[in-house]
Amino acid sequence: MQAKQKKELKAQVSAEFLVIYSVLLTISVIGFVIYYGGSLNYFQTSDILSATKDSHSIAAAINYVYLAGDGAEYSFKFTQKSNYTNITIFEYSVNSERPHASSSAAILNGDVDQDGTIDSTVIIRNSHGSIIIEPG
Amino acid sequence: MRGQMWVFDFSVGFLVICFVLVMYILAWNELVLRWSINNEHNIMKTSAYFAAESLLTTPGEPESWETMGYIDGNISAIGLVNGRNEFNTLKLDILVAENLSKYEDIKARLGLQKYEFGLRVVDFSKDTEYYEFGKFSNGDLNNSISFERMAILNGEPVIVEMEVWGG
Repeated sequence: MQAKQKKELKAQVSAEFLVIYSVLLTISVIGFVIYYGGSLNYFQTSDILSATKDSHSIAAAINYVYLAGDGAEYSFKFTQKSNYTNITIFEYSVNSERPHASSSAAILNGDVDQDGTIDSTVIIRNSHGSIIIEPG
Repeated sequence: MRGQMWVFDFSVGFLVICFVLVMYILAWNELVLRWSINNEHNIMKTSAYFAAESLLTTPGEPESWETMGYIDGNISAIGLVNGRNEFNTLKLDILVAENLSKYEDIKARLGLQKYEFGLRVVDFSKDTEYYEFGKFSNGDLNNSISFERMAILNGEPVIVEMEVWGG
């Protein structure tokens, strides 16, 4: 009789173990998926933020120099531009390209003369209505 | 009995954890959505400000672009004034005349590619309308920025109503 009870008890423990183990496994998998998705979102969001900040800050600087009129000059420094960021000016917009995101911002003057690549510091000048961007 | 209790405890725990995880995902998505809407609205406001400044504080580029009689690729920036806030009526005439055919080009030159834009020049009592350019939403949209600026037209003070919307 005792041996039979022991056998039943062992079987119950085994069933408990299976249920608990499978539940824990499910929770771990769900947690991992959420964490992985979250960190991926985090990197993407971070890249989108940086690209947006870079494109809009230099576009605002270009616009202010244009609005200030002939002879205006401004030394613009990116606060946190990484080496992976590529800034290009195309017609009426400034584009900022990063590994996981890109952003563009509008500028008021299409007559922009870019001398060399846009690095962390540039000088923006208004010369008779034309915008000239030179390395700083 | 002991086994049943354990299974019950874990089922409750599992449900609680699932609930927390689902709430976390929903809250995060809501935050991202709100941030995105807020950010888009701020960008729209900045674009509207720059467009208004370009129109009312600069003559455009080249400065005497109105002598060409039309708007084309040689005009790199559009402004409507001689001095600050003093309208050049020739420039206004050309802008209004090009409304149908060059609306998109003109918007691009004002940094408003992504949005719709409307401009109206009215007298101080808003009874008489002198010029109208572009499109107005007529208050149908939430994502709209309307603002007014003062200017001088033929020596008289006027109100410039502007609206940037859509996007």
